Amino acid sequence: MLRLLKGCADLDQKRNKRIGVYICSCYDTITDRIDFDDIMKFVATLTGVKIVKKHDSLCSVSGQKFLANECKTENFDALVVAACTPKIYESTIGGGVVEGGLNKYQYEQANIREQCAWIHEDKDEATHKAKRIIAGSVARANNLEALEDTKVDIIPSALVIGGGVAGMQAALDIANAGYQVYLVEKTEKLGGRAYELSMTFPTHNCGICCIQSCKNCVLTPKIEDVNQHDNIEVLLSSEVTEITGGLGKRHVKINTPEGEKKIDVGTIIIATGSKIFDPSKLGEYGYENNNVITTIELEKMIMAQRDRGEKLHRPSDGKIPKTVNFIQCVGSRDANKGNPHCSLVCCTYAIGQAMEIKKRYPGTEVYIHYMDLRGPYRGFEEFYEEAKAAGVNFVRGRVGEAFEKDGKVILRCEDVDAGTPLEIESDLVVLSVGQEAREETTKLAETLHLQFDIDGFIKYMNPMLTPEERRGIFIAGCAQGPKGIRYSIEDARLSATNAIKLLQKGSTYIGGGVAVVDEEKCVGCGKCAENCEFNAAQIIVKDGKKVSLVDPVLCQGDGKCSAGCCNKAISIRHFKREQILPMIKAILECEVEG
Amino acid sequence: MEKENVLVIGGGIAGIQASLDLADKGMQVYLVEKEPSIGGRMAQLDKTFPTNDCSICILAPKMADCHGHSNINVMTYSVVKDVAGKAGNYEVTVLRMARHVNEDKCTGCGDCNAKCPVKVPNEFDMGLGMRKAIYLPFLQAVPRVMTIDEENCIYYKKGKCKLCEKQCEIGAIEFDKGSEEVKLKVAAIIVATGYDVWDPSSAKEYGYGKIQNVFTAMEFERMINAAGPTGGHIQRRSDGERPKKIGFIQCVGSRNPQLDHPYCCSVCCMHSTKEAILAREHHDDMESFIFYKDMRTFGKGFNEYMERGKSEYGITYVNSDATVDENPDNHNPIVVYDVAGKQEKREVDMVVLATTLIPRKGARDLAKLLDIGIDEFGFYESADKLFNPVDTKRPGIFVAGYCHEPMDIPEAVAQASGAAARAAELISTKGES
Repeated sequence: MLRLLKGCADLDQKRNKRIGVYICSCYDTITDRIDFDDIMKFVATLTGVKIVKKHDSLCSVSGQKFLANECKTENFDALVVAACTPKIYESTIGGGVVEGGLNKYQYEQANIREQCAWIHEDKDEATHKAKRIIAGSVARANNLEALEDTKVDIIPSALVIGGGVAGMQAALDIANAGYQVYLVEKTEKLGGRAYELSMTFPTHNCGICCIQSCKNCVLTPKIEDVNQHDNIEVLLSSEVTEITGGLGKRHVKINTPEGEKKIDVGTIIIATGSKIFDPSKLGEYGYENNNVITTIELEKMIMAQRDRGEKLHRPSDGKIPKTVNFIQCVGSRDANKGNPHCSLVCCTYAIGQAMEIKKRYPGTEVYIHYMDLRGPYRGFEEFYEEAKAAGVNFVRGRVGEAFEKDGKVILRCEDVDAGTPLEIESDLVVLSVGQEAREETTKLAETLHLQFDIDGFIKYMNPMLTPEERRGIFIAGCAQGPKGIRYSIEDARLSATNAIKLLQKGSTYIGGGVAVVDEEKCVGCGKCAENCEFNAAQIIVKDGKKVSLVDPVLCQGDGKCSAGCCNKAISIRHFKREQILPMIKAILECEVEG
Repeated sequence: MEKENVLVIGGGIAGIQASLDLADKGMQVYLVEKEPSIGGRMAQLDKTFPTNDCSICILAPKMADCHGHSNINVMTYSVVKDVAGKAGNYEVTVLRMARHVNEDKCTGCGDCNAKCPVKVPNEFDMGLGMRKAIYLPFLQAVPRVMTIDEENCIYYKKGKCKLCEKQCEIGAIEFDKGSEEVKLKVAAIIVATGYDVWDPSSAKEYGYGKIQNVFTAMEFERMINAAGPTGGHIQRRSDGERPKKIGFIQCVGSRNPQLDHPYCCSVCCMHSTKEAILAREHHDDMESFIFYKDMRTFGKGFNEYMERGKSEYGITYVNSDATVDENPDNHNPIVVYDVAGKQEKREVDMVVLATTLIPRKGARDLAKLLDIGIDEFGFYESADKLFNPVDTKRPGIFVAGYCHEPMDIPEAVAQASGAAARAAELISTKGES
């Protein structure tokens, strides 16, 4: 570090800059935690600082107006605001600075609230630290330069991957907004998982069984709408094989039955859904036994019964089961053998299936073994009460094992509420299997450099607010975690809204903080291209010399190229060595006494 | 082209999100909020689950964006009085209640309320802290404008005082200005009125209102908030001492047909877990016990959050209904519960009740005014529960957020975006969709 710092000793005082420093007291809530007068006196002594002022709310509308006015009258080269975290407020406060005519890259925000005033008990020490933080920002501000953002056009079309309910809804919303949509579905039909369901919550309509005639069916008209929409091109039995390009212009290769299709799109929605957990991974529930089935298999039996009048018979001998036991959380909430997350929908569908069995065969005993009954939906509680009234038995406790004995399945479990261990004989056992991330989705997300949550599903950019993606890629439905049908639809509408916003803009600007190459110094070794995971850097031959060329649209500014450059020829604008090193130096060496 | 107008009723996170979405699409939005500030319930929460982000820190920029947006007209301290017409052409009457402070002049400097002699419990702090009769409900309030509460102001009671007026150098106080009615023409309406916290004092088994150290979860949120009435210190009502053992009781009033709320409030498993985690983050020796019916930590990352609560923050989860008694000697609450059919007792220093959340007072009147469906509990009803949950039976009127059904913040945001999309769709197709 010291070696690096030596090199920049001459940099931090090279020009005579005009810098303004504005310190925000956050509505005077942090004035008793750090000494503002002391800090202001100190800041006034720093290189380049011409003005130091205090304000109580720079994030407010009046605060931004105040900053804009200051910029207009003071003709600053750079401006530093010492306030809250730039992570959340930089764009808000910086907005005032830009309004005042300063380039946004000549603005620096020092965090003296979250990283200082809020967390330190000792006022003197906190004040001392605040001075250092501000000194660092001022040092950087001395070396900031104005930059221009790159304008990127957005191609007015969208790719939706996955033709389940989420994908269809997103495709319809975007198409209705007037944009061309390519809907790619891996299987030979639209509908996705809903196809396999005999009923949906809370309307109790069937999923898709009534595809031809049922006037109550809610899904069939959706499929027709999608197929008939002028703006939607449906590609069935097709798979996306490659996506290249960057924000606003993605080149996509799709493998279709007619051969390879190449399209360019402005935005992508990933609606690839989830995978059902494979219970054979768990030895203890005896899934290899004929009479142990999954809820998805039971759905098929229920549908066969409704469509073709078939009886619900158990696989081993075709008899109608006299006892049915549901085991909940199979593969869910099990960090050891399955997944740590809750799969959200299993409680609801197991109750629905249990009631269906009770309705057809009132004499059959039905038990549901659960840990917690989770139905975070309006109407669930009534549904649960209805099931109890219909005679479905709910037993709290995890099932230890299920094994076969004399043609029956034996369950070893516990009734936690009664505090007793149980051994139950069952004709049929139904495993409420959970959901997990699909490998294909994970692979796709990796090539697009998306992040993952601990549950293996794709992560939202900001889970608390909108899933706004800087790369023009949005996620809808179960690709980002287990969801019921209506929640998948809601999610799809939200993603479509965000995608439409981007498409409507027609173009957007990409930040100036991207890599630049000093062609004089570059020796064309190719280390940067090797280090870049976004394929933003490549080696070209220019005037007979090998040099690196950076595509600013693809560049994400992570700085791996710069760190690995053998000749310091490549750097990240706005985070150059001569900007960062004086900052570190100022923080480390800052003389705060006096 | 003339801008199309949309009315958004309710300035919580759902209303704010819907307004921003519509305004960004170039539509003119009237955001009507009953309270003096927008922000709603999210502004009162300390942190949000499952990320433990500071709630107001995420919300405040959105509030500021709303207020600063050239396409949004934020009308606080206002209520909708009448709605006539049909989709594409609603005529709305909004009552702008008299706040007696000129919104354009007031800077929120606070000189006036420093001198105001009246002190009343602050609703924003669930009554745990005090405010003046002229007040800013909370620090980050938007707009940053004072409000005089006529009910408590001495001038309106006795005809004299006006200390605030003397303090205000810019002459923003307007004692004589009455409320006024404004007529708006809008193409669509989004209803996002949110929830109220149910008052548990009628359910005697929890002792709320009688046993001093029993709090509601919303009171606890304010108490543990650094900007709250105790400056973030967790304090017992009886002696101001900091508790070391807290019992959280779930489903207070929820999933309880006897109390007319058979529904699950959808958020309290998570917020109690969060509150227990925060309490432990404040003090290493804090012990928390959560008494629950079913732990419904169902959303993305939620179950993992609960597991972390157990393994990293030492929360003990007890599967049982619970009631509360008091130890008269030290005012400690005693939680009475069952384990495998056997009654047990645990003395704690404080009890926090996860009370159910109910539709806002006045939800029924608003439903009547808007002529939209409402269920027996007061939640607004969807016309199409599966595919267009935000549509009401009346075309052009949409719902979003907790007023529609129990949900958490991300879902309220998603619904608000959905409602905004539906409203925009209606406008762009001239009511054909």
